[in-house]
Amino acid sequence: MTLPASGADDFERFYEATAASIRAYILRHCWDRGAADDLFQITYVKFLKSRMGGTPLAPKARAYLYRIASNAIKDHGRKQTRLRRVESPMQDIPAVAREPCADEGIALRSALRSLSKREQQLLWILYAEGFSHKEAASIMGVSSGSVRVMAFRARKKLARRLASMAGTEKKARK
Amino acid sequence: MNESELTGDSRDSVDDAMEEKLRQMFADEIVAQGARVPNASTIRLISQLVPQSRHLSDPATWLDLAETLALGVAVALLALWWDDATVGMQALLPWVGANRPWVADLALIGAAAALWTYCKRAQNLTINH
Repeated sequence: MTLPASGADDFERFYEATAASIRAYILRHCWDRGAADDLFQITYVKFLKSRMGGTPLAPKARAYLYRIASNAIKDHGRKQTRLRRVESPMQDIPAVAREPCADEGIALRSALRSLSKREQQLLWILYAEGFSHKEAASIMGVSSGSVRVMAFRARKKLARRLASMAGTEKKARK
Repeated sequence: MNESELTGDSRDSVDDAMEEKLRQMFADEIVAQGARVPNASTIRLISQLVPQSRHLSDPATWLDLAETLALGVAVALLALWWDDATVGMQALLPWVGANRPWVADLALIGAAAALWTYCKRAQNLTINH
């Protein structure tokens, strides 16, 4: 799809606003940097080819882009499972994703890894992007009610995991 | 499952603090990725090089689907009169002869397989993501 000049400007603005977070989202939820680069590209190419591609500044465009990214990650995961190359979904988080956080962040990161992949995706969608439950539901292809319950469980699981990690650390210090 | 779990409304200060940390961690990851994304123009160029995929708003997709449907109806009719069709094919292919009707059966099975392949292809063209 060749965008007209104004459409190209709109896309550029949309891209600038979303590219970093989409790349971080893909990198966090897929297996390696090379695959993340491919999925990032696939996500935007699909977006440009879709009906939303002509109106990137539409209110639903960002959620639509996340849906494409989520589907791309899911497809990639299925392929990887078929190829039996993956043993644990989060075993190989690129080092760059770990860089910015200190000790407290490392604990949180480790606790986050104990959640299911779907729960991790939901937490990203809700807390990194600030999507509403309704938008998160459309991105993940589930009902809004399910999103609320999933988010509640993910939060509790994460809190429990963090508490148990803190407890273990205290015991170790004693 | 208790009520708060059903509604997802139960919150406390631990939740708030944890959410704040999550937001901060995710924000850091986003900032770290900011410098690693290609230019918008590069992505646009790539999208122009990738062959156009079709979605439901594209009339060509509907033509494809209509064609598939017509083909499906034709094969369904053939299947309904399978015996007649077999006889018909034997008439069309006299060399098959009355002793080898399975050749006509195979031809019909082949037609069904071709239809199946065609439908899958049309489906792949239609589903954009």
